[in-house]
Amino acid sequence: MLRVEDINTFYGTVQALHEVSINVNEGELVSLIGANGAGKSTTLRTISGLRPPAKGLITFRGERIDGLRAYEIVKKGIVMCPEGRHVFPQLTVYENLLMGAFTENNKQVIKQSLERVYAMFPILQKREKQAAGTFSGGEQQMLAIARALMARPQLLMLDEPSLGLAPIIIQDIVRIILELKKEKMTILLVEQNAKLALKLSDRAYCLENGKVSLSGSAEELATNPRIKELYLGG
Amino acid sequence: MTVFFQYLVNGIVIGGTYSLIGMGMTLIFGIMRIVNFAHGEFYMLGAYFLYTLWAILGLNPVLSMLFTFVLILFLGIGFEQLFLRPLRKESSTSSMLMTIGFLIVLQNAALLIWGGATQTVPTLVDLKTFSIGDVVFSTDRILVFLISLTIIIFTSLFIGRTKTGRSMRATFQDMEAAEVVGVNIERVYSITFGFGAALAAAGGFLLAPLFVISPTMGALATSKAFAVVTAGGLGNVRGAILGGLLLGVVESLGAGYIASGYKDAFGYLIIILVILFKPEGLMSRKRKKGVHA
Repeated sequence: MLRVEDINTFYGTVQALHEVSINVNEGELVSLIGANGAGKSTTLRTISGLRPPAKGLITFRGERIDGLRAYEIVKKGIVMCPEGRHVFPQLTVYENLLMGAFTENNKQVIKQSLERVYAMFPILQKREKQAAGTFSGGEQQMLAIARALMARPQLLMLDEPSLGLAPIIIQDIVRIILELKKEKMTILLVEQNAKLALKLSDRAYCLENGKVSLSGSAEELATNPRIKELYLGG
Repeated sequence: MTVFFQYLVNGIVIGGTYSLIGMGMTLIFGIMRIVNFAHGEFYMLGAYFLYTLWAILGLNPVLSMLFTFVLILFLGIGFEQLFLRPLRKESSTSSMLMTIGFLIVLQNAALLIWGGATQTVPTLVDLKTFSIGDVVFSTDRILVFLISLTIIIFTSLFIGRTKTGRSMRATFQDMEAAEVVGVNIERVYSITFGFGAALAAAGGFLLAPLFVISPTMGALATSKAFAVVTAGGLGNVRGAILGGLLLGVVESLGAGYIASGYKDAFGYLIIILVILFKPEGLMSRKRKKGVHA
């Protein structure tokens, strides 16, 4: 479904990605693991069009998407839930969700998406008139995921959904990811918590210094001695 | 006391147009993070377009205003796309220098087209006056205020209730998040700049029948827009509305009770006082970012 081939991405003169290649098949949950600064988030930002690659090829359903602008990529069905939540602090929950459906013009479809998201996150409906900035980190994360779902993504990219959250909240996030997985949503997950990521995913890629160092099924990686030593605490 | 109310009424009438100019500037600053130094030139063009369409070509005055608003909207969008968009990757200083370029070009274009002599625009309606108590109202000024109010309400609804308005607020609050949900940021920038310029033009065409117009009239309007925006808080639309009314009233009272020669200086006084004592703007409870409808 998504093929990323040999991409190089730069921040100014600093090269963040070196010939990164990954692919995601329909209905799969694939995760990118690795240390801080390994290039996981940059990979997602490159796919989403926020940071276009200097070299390489990205195709989605056989169609080339590298070089497209961020909003065009959202229209293709690839939606990112960014690291650090990035909800609109002074918009209400309801307005945040409407922003999530920005590329959708059919009011009926938006209404259905809203009902679905409210069923998934009842707390959002209860507080729909509240400004998102008044929410706790966990609630903002839920809102950020809900907002991404409002776009009815074909490929959902989650960037560090558990970052900075209390363990009990992480459980909620995990429950939601598993629910989406059960619905056969295609997900590309970036997670620093490798243990959690490997538990959730079908396949995984490990990034080191902007390069893919290892890839395989989640079980393979979870039992790989190097991964065990570096990311799973021995 | 009658005199006081008379000054107050006069101040509010003029203040409504200051609100428009200020809203335009605060929108552009809030979303694009640049100060539009050519703001007053769009104000000047608003006055001259009305003069041309109505006083010279004899079009219906309300229609002339509507045309002017739309023309300046598209002129602003065109300027943004042609000259500001290529500078997006540069620092905001480059964009601001570019708006100084707009100022020079527009001012000189106006000189070339309409000449340097001042012109007058006839009043919008037959000038009649009536009084409530001892406070005198004139029909033309009331009309100016009503039109200002209409545009203010229209703008607030546009920003607060429409999808485009929501995407403008969203872009202001978190540009990256706006991109991630699929907002075309470039389009938001163009619309914002065009709309901001059109609001300045509205201030210009509303004040044109009350004063004389000249190609250099914009400089004063820009400085007043600074005062309004500083008082209301940068990027705060509601603040700009109240800031405009405040400036109008302060000018009117100052001119009446202190010295009319210093009328235009009171705006600077507001800037100095606000920056000294409440730099985040009179309207903000605390420092925060965001376009408020």
